Amino acid sequence: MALLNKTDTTKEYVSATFKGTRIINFQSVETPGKHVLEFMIQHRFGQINSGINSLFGLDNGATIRFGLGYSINDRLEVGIGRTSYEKLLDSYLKYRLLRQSTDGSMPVSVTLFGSAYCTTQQDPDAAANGFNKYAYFGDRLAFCIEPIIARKFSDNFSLQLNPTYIHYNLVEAITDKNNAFALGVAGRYKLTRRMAVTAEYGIRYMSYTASQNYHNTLGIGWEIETGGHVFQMFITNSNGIADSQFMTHTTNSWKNGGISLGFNISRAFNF
Amino acid sequence: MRKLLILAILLMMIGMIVSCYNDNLSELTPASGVPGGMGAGSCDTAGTMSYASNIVPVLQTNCGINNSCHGTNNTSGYNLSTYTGVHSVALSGKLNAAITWSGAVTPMPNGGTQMSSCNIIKIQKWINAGSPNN
Repeated sequence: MALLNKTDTTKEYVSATFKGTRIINFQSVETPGKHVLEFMIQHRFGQINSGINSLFGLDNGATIRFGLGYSINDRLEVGIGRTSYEKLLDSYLKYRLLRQSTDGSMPVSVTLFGSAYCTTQQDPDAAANGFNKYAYFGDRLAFCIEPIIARKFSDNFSLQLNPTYIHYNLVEAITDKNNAFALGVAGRYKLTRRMAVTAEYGIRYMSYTASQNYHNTLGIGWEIETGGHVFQMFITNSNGIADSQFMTHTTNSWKNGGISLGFNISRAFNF
Repeated sequence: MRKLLILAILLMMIGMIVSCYNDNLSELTPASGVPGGMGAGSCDTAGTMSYASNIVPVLQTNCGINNSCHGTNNTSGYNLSTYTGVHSVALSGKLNAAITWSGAVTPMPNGGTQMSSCNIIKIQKWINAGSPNN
């Protein structure tokens, strides 16, 4: 009789809140599966407002990031990457703290994301100015912490919040602060089993800079999953790809056509 | 294994906290002419700014005067690789508006962070002196 009373305590977790580990620029709650190595190429073209002569930005200088992420167990991912803009090296940890359960006892998935960034470029103004702004190595560094919260509302619709804190060891203008806060909102709507539309928007808390010429990042995209690949194509106003770049330092805006085509491709390898 | 992971993460976090600075470039650069500048060095904006020795180096490193941004065969419509081209945008006020990000024209450098206060002041001093070909 005791056996009949015993309830099954294994929980069922919601899977695939999002298809990939990125939405457009934003980190998603997902990590690669256990012992899976994910290789990712992220590419942004030039701005569409540069006209037909440069094929609406396709000719222009692109920003590229290569990244590798490895999931040690089912919950912890460690990764590295390099972005061409600012020649930025990044390394990150992503930990799946909480997972949404199918029975409703845990309504959200929470993933902790932490990253360190190092710009490896030489100071381009060093000769002209007579001093090197990277004289202290620490001034090349920036850090980011994001507790990512997501909920899969239905098979087709998922929504996510990315509250973001970024610390820059070195800022340029006298009115810039070294700490920046932003709230990212992202979502995806599945159209078929393999295709979805995605969107993301970053709302900045403005005290980090007095400049009026940075804008919130907004991206709209479309993704396909085929076998071991996730392929995402989108339009965004951000040139930067690392979190320390696109969230707070986007200088183009949708209003004047400063939007760029871009894509992310990822491939999963099992080890 | 799990304890090792936790230890590694803790060490990383301590490492990050220890290497955390709150530096501001304006405080690191020398006082002459830079708002709030207090550091030592030789960003010299004192005296007359010369087009050849002060302005051209700044244009070379920030304005793509050797490529399609602001070079001879540019896609932007503004050739900053010759004195005539620079003098023209200086006189019209576009150069100052672009580098100070005032909003009147597209902010420059395009798609990147603003130039340092040092460079902006050099160009502004040169513009205010009549943007001579010196």
